[in-house]
Amino acid sequence: MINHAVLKLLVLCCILFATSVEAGEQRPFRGAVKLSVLLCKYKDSPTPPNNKQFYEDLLIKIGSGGHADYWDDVSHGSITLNGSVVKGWYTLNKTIAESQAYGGGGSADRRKKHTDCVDKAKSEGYTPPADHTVVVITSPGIDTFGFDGGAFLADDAGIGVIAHEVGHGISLQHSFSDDPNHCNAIWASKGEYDNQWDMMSYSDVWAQNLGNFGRTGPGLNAYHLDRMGWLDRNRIYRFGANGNYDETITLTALTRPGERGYITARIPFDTTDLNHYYTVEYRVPEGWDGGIPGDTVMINEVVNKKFRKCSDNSLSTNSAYRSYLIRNHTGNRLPKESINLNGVRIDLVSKDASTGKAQVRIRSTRPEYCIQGYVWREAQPDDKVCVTVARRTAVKQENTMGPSRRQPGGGAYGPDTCRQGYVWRESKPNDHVCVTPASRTKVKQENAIAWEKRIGGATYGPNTCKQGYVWREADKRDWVCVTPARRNEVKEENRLGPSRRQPGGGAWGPDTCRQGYVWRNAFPNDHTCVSTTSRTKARNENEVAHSRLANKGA
Amino acid sequence: MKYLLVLCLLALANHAAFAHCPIENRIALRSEAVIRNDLRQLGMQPQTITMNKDKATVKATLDGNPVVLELDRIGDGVKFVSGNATVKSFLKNKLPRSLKIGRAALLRPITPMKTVPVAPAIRRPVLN
Repeated sequence: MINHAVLKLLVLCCILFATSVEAGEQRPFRGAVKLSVLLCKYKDSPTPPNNKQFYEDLLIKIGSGGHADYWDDVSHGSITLNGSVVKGWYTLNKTIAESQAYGGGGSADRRKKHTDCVDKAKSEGYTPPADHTVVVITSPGIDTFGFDGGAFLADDAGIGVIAHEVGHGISLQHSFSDDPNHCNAIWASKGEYDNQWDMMSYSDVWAQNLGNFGRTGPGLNAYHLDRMGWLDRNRIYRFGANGNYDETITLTALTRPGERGYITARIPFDTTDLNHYYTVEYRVPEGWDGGIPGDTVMINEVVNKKFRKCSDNSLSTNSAYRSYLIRNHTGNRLPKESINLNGVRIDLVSKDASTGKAQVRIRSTRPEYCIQGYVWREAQPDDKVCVTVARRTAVKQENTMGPSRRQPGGGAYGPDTCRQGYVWRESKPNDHVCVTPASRTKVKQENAIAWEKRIGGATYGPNTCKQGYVWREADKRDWVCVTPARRNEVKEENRLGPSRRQPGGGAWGPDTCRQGYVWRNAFPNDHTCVSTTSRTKARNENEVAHSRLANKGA
Repeated sequence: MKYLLVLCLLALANHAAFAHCPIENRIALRSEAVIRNDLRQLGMQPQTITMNKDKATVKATLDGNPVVLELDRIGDGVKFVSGNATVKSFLKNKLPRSLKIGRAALLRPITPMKTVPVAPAIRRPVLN
């Protein structure tokens, strides 16, 4: 018999374990990414090339043209580095050679290079807070690697490598291409790091050199922006959601979020997985994308699959969702700007780097297909309302029975007049099959929610909420899942917010709240005045946002 | 109950193992195409690029002057192997942090300076 106290302890441990497994995932995420940057040198290091101020400018100071500006721009203002600090230089009680002896990739001791610096900082009075990503920079540089919660970099690291590692810290994963033979490195999987237009393929990206701040890569691809919840809902075109299956849309370059047009489109086509779709985006060589050789429309396939290792061609045990750039596999290996795959046809109509606009025509009837568990009703040959199999069977029987339910010789409504007790089904205006009134009501209900059961209507992207939750919608980019009641509360707060401001402003500027109210801070610069209880709710909702997603891996 | 206990212990054991052997995120190697693009960004005309694991040796020209560089394919380091003073000076201005001057280069006789093309001002990329 197991002692109950021990059992309770074990269950508690299990809960803690489960929580810690998810701790690395932070999405949708808008807020402050806090870095503790520790500068360490060895006892035989030459004088470091830069002082602490330099690294503050490079890494955490907004407006310096460095890493903080990179994230501010690329996340479209969704994240900040507020609360980050730079500490050091600390001098380790080790020589360069002694630290190098820990080994590189594959060595179990590699992390000790990082730990030594953290321990030194602690011994000198600075302990990085638990919610900080700890970036260690050494002089001279002896290694470059990152892991969940930290990174180890050289003193000459540029914005690119730092941004890539910070990207991992907020749950971004490597980008891929669809080239099954591409191996970037022995440690890579096939196709991994093969999107030169995405920071999560660093170092193999179209970069630019910012002199003192080193080499920097491009922004993130649209899937990564969507996944993090950094795109406004109305800037994402959900192909097929409106029942149109042949549309020409205007895309705006990812670097121009302030201009009109869609930033991306999701084009679903897989009835078995709503998170399996194509994305399309437009990139032009400007801003952080300045190293891109030319403007291009890019199509990615977002799919959940296993990885084939370059080292031994074996398949990984687990599968995961990643974005795969559709590109030519030989020659110039440019991205394909038009495709005809999986029942989806995407054609580039026009593009103009100077205006930052591209037009693409998207054609596919796949979004009309039913989600798993549903089939077309087929009350008539072209009836594509999605219903259960049992319901389709019932409709088929109605079709068979229909003629026998007609008034012999016709009646007031012509030759199709139904006998007493029956009415026209009206799945469409010309559907004169005679059914019971209850069946007609059912058909009407099915028609009203037809879009919900089609993959075009049911595809809401990587931040789809699990059953019982809806997006909070504190603003157009708020993808945090809450209860419907809470969403109503937030809507009401938005309505009342202006009336809760201090007339004429106050100590906190024009948005200063009246006595008894505080800023909600559901996201950076959310200055809606609410009660302290509501602010606490918003913070708690943000913290559990990932656990409320329908598919946490999507 | 026993089954649950075993599962929990296994989970905890795995967690402990994971905590001690964290998975490192690796960084990609720069490909030849990307290195060529990097060099063009610096105003150089790449000629031959020899890949050797995590290093790449580059022979290029800058305004007609030959230059040999060794690039770090993972990090951002650029080592100046050979080239005249004009090229060296230009790169030192363009790559003030990552450029390392190799011993061989330091021993080379300094050739007379000529007008060095002025690099565009480095400032924060302008976003609309």
